[in-house]
Amino acid sequence: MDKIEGEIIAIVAGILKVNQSDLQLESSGDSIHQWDSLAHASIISAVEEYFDIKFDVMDIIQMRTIDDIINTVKKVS
Amino acid sequence: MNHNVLNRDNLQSFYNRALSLKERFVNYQEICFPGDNLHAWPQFIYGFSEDTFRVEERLMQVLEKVEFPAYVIIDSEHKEVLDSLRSLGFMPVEIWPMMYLNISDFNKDLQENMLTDYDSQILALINETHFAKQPLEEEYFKYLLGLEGCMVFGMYDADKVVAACLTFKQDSNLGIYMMSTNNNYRGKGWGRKLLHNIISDCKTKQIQSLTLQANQLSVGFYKKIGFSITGNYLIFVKK
Repeated sequence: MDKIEGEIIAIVAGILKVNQSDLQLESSGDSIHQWDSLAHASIISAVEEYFDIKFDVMDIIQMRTIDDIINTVKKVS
Repeated sequence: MNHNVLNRDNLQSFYNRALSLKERFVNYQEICFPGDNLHAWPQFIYGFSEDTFRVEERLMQVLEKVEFPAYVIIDSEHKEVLDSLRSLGFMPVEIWPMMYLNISDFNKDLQENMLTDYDSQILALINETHFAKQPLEEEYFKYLLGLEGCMVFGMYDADKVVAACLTFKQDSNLGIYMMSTNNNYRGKGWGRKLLHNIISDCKTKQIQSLTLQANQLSVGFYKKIGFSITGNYLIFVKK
């Protein structure tokens, strides 16, 4: 796991109030009960703030899994 | 309290319900409170269509009155409003493809096992599928069915209703809402059969097209039937 992956998993775990070990790269709202649309919005906001970036609207919509978020952060950074 | 919060599972059902209240949602431009007051569930749904004139100003006025979380439903073509929403602290969370089907492309002729009268089983199925946490009351459902252009369609397996939806006819178009299939009958062709039956019924009523809002999970199903995507609605939320 690289640094960005670890940081994003920590952010997601913090917002969803789950253990980092409960999250996988493919985790999403479909697999994690707490990950509803409000939590999703919080996750995206927190990631933007942490990395000091601004995602494109369509990029945000396409991000479903932790892996998607990681890849989009790497693309934007 | 928590069960009253909109989430990605029930938002679309709400939108369906909101759209079904046609008199409050003319041309998608009216502020829509499906409940009777600002505190009713959902707290806020706002839709825009072609005219984005003064959208920002109107949005600001509305936002002064609502409680959060608030949702905004908007056509993704309105790029400038998308940016405004972002700067107002709204975050996009969902995309719903708008889907269209030209009936004349279809040659199906089915009318089997179809029900077009109210049956309490239909309401039960729609509630189970879309409104599990806050079922539509029978009185309200009958009120919808009494609106001009509104119809209900259901599919029977023996004496059991296994698929159903509401439709609204407007001019030569039929809008489809609240598509519901019994859990045990999903993936077995009943939803497709229901739509084929509706298409068949449309041919006798001068209806030329079908429209509906899909979501990311159902878009493939509608494409297989022959629907195409004509645009997208984006759903924004602000906590």
